[in-house]
Amino acid sequence: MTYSIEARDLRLDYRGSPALRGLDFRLAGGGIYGLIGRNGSGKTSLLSLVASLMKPTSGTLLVDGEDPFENPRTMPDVCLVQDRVKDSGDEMWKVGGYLRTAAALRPHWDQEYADRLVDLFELPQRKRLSSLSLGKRSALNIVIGLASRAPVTIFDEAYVGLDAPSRYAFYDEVLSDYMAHPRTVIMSSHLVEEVDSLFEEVLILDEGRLLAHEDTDDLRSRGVSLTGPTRAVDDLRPGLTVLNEQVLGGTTSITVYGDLDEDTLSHARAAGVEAGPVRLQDLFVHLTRKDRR
Amino acid sequence: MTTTTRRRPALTVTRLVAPAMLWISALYFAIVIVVFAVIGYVALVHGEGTDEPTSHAELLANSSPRFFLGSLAIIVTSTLLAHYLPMGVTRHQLFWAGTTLILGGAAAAAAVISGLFLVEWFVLDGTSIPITYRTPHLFDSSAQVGVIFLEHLVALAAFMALGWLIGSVFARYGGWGGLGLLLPCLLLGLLPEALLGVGWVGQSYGALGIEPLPMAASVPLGTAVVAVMLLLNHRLMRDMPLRRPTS
Repeated sequence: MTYSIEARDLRLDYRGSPALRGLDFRLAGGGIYGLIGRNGSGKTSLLSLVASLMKPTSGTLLVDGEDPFENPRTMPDVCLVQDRVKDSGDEMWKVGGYLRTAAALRPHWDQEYADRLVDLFELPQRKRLSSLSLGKRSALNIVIGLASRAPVTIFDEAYVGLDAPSRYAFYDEVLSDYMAHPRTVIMSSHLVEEVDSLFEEVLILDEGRLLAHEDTDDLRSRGVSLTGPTRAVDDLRPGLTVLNEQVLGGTTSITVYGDLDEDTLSHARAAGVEAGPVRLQDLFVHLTRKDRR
Repeated sequence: MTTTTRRRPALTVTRLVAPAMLWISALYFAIVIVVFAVIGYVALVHGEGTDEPTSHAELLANSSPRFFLGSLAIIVTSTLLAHYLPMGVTRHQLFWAGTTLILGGAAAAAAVISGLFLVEWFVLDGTSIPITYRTPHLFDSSAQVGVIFLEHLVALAAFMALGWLIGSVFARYGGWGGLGLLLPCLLLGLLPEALLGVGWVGQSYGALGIEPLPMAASVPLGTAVVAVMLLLNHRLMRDMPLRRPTS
């Protein structure tokens, strides 16, 4: 079961200042979407609206064609997992009880899958939430996000507390579970490098505005990386917007924003320079640079 | 295996929250009952011949339970919203869960208090000590369990609804806004007891020469004020945002 998400001139003011400034986009559903942006760009605000934690100031937001705010049909089917390290009532909850609560309230909860994930992330069921480490707390939130099997599953920076092995285990789980149970998955992060291969489409937010919403491959094709002998790379450099540069001995690698025409690419190849795809992280950093705003 | 048990989210939330509230309240009542039993025993043994009113069940009922339960109710809105809204339960459903917890809690506490009046009546029935009360009540004998329950149900529900309302007002309007609305909330919360003409508010009627309303009018009116407080909670909760740190 997959749900579409659509926003039309979506705005949210928070304490008098705009958090979202007229967003327009449509996610068809049934894909893994990346929502990236710097800290304070409006990612959590947007996701909070999708999960009905807040009401938009103006504009339209539709989840599966309906306004999600206080919607008893869509709300249980939207699971927003946030990077909550501490929460009120953590002293009261034990891990097992917290999972049972999610099981009772999520209509598509898969208990066998939840048990397997608890083993995978080595979660202590009898421990109180307040005594969990940052990594275990993140893991608990992720177990709930995955086992809920909600038609709209959102991970809002939920995995940044995990150590590297756990993060990669999480990426594997997201992908394999999505393949087995297709749904709309949104992953929000400002740490793009590890997750960009998962995304089918990417939305880039900056200061409450939507800078880009594109197919990931199309977005990557907005730039190119050139690697080769330093002198040959330097010959190509004039007139290009260089996003990133790495030098190792006599070899230089630069990431360039914008299309390169076929003649330039042929010339580069002839000079021993290899052209490759650009990293999403470099594009993101470039597009959200302060001097571009 | 996928579960599909989510038929009545409000009841599910009530079932999940009630045990914690019940344990805290049970611990509280266990402590105050022991304390007041000791006070009552000492008064019974050493207090013969004094003009002091004799009902210690009334002394207990008139004091901390309403404030304790009212304080407990202050956290209802913040707890329900913080934990169950992100789990896909609507505010409207959470309101019904809160209402069930408030009225259920008030009914359970009123039943305990009615039981204490009854126990006291059994203990003192065979003695020469008459049961007398400090403040006016709808009942005039500790054996009138039904009326005792009704009076305390309305009074305790009023205090719990008041606590819930105060918590909602602070959650909605923040510290300064909450402080600004505290007095109107308190006046509304005390109104049911004033209408019933019982407790410390009812005691002042005698001094002021005010005739209390008959029970047939005071109980429905007091209940209506409780309902108004519950509806105000619904009004405050129905579009209350759950704000979390942004990224």
